[in-house]
Amino acid sequence: MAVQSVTTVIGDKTLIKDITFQLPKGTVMALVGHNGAGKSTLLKTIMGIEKKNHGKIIIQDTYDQDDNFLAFKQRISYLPEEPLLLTELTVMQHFQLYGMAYGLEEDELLDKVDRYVKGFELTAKMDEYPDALSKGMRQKVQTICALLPDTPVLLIDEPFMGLDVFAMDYLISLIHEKKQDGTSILLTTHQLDRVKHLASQYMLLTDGMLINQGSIQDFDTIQRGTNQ
Amino acid sequence: MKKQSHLQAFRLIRKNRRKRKIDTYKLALSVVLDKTTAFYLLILVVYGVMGFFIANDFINDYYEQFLLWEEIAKQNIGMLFTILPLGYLFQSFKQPGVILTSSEYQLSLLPYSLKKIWLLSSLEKWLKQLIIFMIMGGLVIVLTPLSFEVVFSYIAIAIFIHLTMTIPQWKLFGTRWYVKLGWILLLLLVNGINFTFHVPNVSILIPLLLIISNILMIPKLFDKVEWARITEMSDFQIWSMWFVSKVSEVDFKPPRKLSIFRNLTRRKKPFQYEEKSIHHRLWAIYLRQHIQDLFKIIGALFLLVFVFSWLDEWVFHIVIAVAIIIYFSIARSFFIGRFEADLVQVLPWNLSGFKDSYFKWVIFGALILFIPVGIYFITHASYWLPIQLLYLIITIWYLYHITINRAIMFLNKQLKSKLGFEVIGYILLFGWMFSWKFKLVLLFCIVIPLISKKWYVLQPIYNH
Repeated sequence: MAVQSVTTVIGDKTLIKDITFQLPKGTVMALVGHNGAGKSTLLKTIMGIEKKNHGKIIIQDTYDQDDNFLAFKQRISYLPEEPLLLTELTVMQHFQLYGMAYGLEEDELLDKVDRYVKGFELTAKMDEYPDALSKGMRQKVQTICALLPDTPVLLIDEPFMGLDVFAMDYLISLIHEKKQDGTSILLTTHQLDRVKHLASQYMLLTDGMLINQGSIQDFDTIQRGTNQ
Repeated sequence: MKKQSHLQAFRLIRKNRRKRKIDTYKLALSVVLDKTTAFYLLILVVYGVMGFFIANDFINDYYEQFLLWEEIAKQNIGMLFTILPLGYLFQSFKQPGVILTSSEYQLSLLPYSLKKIWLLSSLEKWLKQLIIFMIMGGLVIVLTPLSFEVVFSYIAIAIFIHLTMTIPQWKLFGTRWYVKLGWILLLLLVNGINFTFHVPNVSILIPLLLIISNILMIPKLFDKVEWARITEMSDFQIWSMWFVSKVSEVDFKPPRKLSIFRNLTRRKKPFQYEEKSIHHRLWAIYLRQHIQDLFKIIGALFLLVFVFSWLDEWVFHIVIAVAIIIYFSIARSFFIGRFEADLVQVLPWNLSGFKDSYFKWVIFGALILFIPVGIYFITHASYWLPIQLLYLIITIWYLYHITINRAIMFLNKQLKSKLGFEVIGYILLFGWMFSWKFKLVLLFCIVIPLISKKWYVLQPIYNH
């Protein structure tokens, strides 16, 4: 995925300022920064939820957000920070909705659901509505939803929020798997130590600007940057 | 430091809430009330006071009438016992009766008993209602020739029902819709029997039943209580201030209601793995969230068409065309809105599939709108009726396609649209406007969409 000179203005505030970066195939990039640095806004801009005022976002050198938004969207999966689940759909119906939206065959969907649901210990909750689940369980449901499609790009906003330790470990293993399958993953997090062994690249945002980027090995630099 | 009593904590919350509400009202008043408006308002108040005394004279003129009403009131006093509880049963769909907002609920996180807070809230409610009833009763006694005895009896019964329906309403609020409906139907049946046969002992039976049900319910008062829903509804009840809403132009919306069919086993079953059933549910969820707006819009258009259906033919035909344009413009907004809300916003969309599933919802709304058109057709029936109907169906079908296709292009960030198709849509509407006078226009215009290539499967132009 290529993000070129993207600027996002909401109201009279410029939340994302001229950001450019490349997310190569099979790479996990950690997007770090203080609260309000623009991390979530950048993900939402890539998703098209927030409209960018300037710049280009292209997936696989072909799918431009401006030229063919529907085809572009088909190639991104997004895990939001707060679950966006519908109160009128059960857990299984959410999985079906995702499966259908991303064109998964029913057998493939059922196999994946079976595996992820066992991994996240949600087997007994398939016919429950989200409001009957705890916050952590809702987060697990939303996580599974985002992991169901095999899209070239996966955007994850604070992946470990509300998850227990076992679920976090399981999610990390799944992200590793996706990475090996060639998915480009951009994730925001405050838990830098958790992503240290997961991400190969990082980007540091401050006030909507890209301050620093490079290899995750320069972890100390990130810490100094975020502690400033 | 000495711990505050329940009453002190309760009063502290109420005092601060009152202060905040007064401040909000003051702020709202300062927006709408300048010196000139205040002057005219004063005149209005003086006029109102004068009207009060004039009304007193007016009421004395109808002295005989009041005596007759009093006689009827005496004879039917027993009916109050069966009619008044109905109001509380209907209210139980929306309100728990006893207000327990999130603030009061938070007291339970401190060393306060929620049960005692509930009791204090109930006492406050009863006291308020008692004062209201007494003021109302006092006014009726002072202003009308109705006897103290009758007015007092009515107020005493109303207070009794108010007290004894508090707990049933509270319990019913937490039950499923069919339980509430069952009680309503039962009471309606009792009312029907009482009204028809004038059952003599109903005035003893109902109060007795109410007292017994209260005694039975008290031990289970806090069993299976959905506090989240109660606090949500109470917060809405307290803070939805009509005047402030009008001044600030901010709508206070009630907490989102969940479908009454949500807990049916059938609704919880996984979908048939096909777009149709999933899309259908997504439309149902979205449109239900906007049901109030839909009612207002369709209701207004219905009234517009209905009123003008009794005027001149040419006006009626123009109004129909205008109503169609407005209706489809709103249908387009709702279609786009579906993809800018909730979870659907972050998903990729097969918009053609959504377009197909949206059609029946649009047609359903249009059918309500076109009831007056049906009446018009019946009252103005001619040999042209089938052609007129066919013409209208084709126009609506055609406009649906071009309107939603335009919405799809918008959602796909494609700004080019096929102008030619839209022009055909407007020609069809023009044709309709003049068809009352020149019926042949109908035949001529019907041909246009038919000769425009594959008009009936018009698809938006985008690639996957």
